[in-house]
Amino acid sequence: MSIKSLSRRTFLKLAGAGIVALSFSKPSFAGDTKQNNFFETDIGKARLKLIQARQAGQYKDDKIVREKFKIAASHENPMIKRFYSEFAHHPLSEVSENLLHTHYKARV
Amino acid sequence: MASKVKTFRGDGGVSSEIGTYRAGELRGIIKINEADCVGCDTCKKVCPSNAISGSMGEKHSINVDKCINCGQCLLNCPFNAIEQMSFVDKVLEKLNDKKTKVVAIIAPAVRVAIGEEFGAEPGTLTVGRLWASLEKGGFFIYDNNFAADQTILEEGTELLAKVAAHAGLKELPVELWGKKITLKIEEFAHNPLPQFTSCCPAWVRYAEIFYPKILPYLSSAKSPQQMSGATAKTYGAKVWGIKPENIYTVGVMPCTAKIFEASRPEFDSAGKFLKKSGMRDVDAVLTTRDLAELLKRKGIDPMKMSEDAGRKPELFKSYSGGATIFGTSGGVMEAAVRFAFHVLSGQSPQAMSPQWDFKSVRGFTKPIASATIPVPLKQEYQKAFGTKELQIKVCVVNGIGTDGAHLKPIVEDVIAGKSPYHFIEVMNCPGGCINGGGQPKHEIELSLWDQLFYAFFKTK
Repeated sequence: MSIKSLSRRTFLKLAGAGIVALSFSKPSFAGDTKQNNFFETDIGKARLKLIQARQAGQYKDDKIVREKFKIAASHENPMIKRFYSEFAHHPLSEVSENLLHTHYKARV
Repeated sequence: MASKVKTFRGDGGVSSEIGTYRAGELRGIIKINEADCVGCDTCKKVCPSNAISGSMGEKHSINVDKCINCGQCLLNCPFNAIEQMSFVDKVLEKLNDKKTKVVAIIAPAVRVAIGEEFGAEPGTLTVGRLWASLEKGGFFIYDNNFAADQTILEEGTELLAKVAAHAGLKELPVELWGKKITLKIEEFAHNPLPQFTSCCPAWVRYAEIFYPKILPYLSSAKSPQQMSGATAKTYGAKVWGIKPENIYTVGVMPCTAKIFEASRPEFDSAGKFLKKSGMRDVDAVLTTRDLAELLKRKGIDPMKMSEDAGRKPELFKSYSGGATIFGTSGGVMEAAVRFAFHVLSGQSPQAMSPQWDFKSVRGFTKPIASATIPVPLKQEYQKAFGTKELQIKVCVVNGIGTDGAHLKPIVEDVIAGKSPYHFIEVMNCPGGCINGGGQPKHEIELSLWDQLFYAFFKTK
């Protein structure tokens, strides 16, 4: 097979693969293999700091809500009590079934 | 500072059923811009549904029939080559229309990320100032955290009904707010356990496409976004004293799959309830990024407003600690367990009590979290269940994983009848909604090696 019969795209692919094979450094995105645990992949590791910072923000809000407004669990929200007493009656009521529940659809 | 994600203007949904889309549903919410794609393959490595094709060095493309619209590819693309459908222009039009009341439904994860678009550190909490910014921009607020509490009441009660029905009970007395109601639960004996959460629209579409057998296990509770829309146009219209048809509901979501969810044909339940045709429960969805763009266009910067002043627990704004952690992996589970603990034990610890913390279900950065939670039963239930303590077994799937890597073993156990759990939370995005496809994007730092490698691809 002459070099001319290789398409430009195939040539680039082969050349690229060759460069990966020759490299002794641990390539990050380019050489990342599929692993079972996303958080242990290089892509996952690169996102850890951001994920953790935002998660910390969520638990901070949990603390603020409980400290300031004294509402830890959903039923303790006074406005939820109001919603059910003025409108939906109780969980799984007919109003709830009509407005707050749904069904799913196989898409095959 | 967050980087810009390109968008394109959304139009209507498909006119008739095509592939995995039903009439009216939005198709192609996430798109790879071929001009910018260098074929680095990163998107394929994060795709939960194996929807992306193209070899290294080739232009990649998305198979819309497999795509679940999660946007993980977009977030992780080092070349900003992936674009999102946007409704910013449409929402701005509605804000300018005097007779329309535009209601913003703000998801939990938005409040820990939108600050990044305005130069704040990741995780900066933005609640009071976000509400104030939206009100300044002409929106009314329906915090999705309020709907998260509605979700827990519905989904949590549904779970208790199933567990009780499977234990042989025909009726379940539930005491809430000092009132006792007795639910007839015989029909729940036919609903299989474990129950899966249904808040995550990417997971729901994933199940519908790849595991239709699992659909009977999904909670019938709508996602908080859809509960918000349906409630705003019925109960909300009454409380506000305005016509439901003059309400325009806008989901503000950390999520691109929510854009799709709102377009599902069955989500016109407020209209059906009120016997008015042509009304959608949720009219448009903006991602966290879209909202930042809208606020910037209006010259509003939430970081310049006061966080504490605007935080008043009014109707549709008041929410629980359990609701606000919905945005992180394990949050829905913990909120549900807090509720179930109260109903089953009859106990109401102080708000700051560590008894409300169920840290074993928090996903953090583990692919799977599972726990057995002992719940003491109040006397009435001790007799009915024939035990003093119920062992509730739960599992949290923290991201579906590449081509389903985290999720598949859990779902396959359920289908094989081998699952030990009562309740399973699934969030498509690793870490939960806080890492959703609609969140602020940050530059992906490439090593010098990668830069050279991709520069080579780019010469084509």
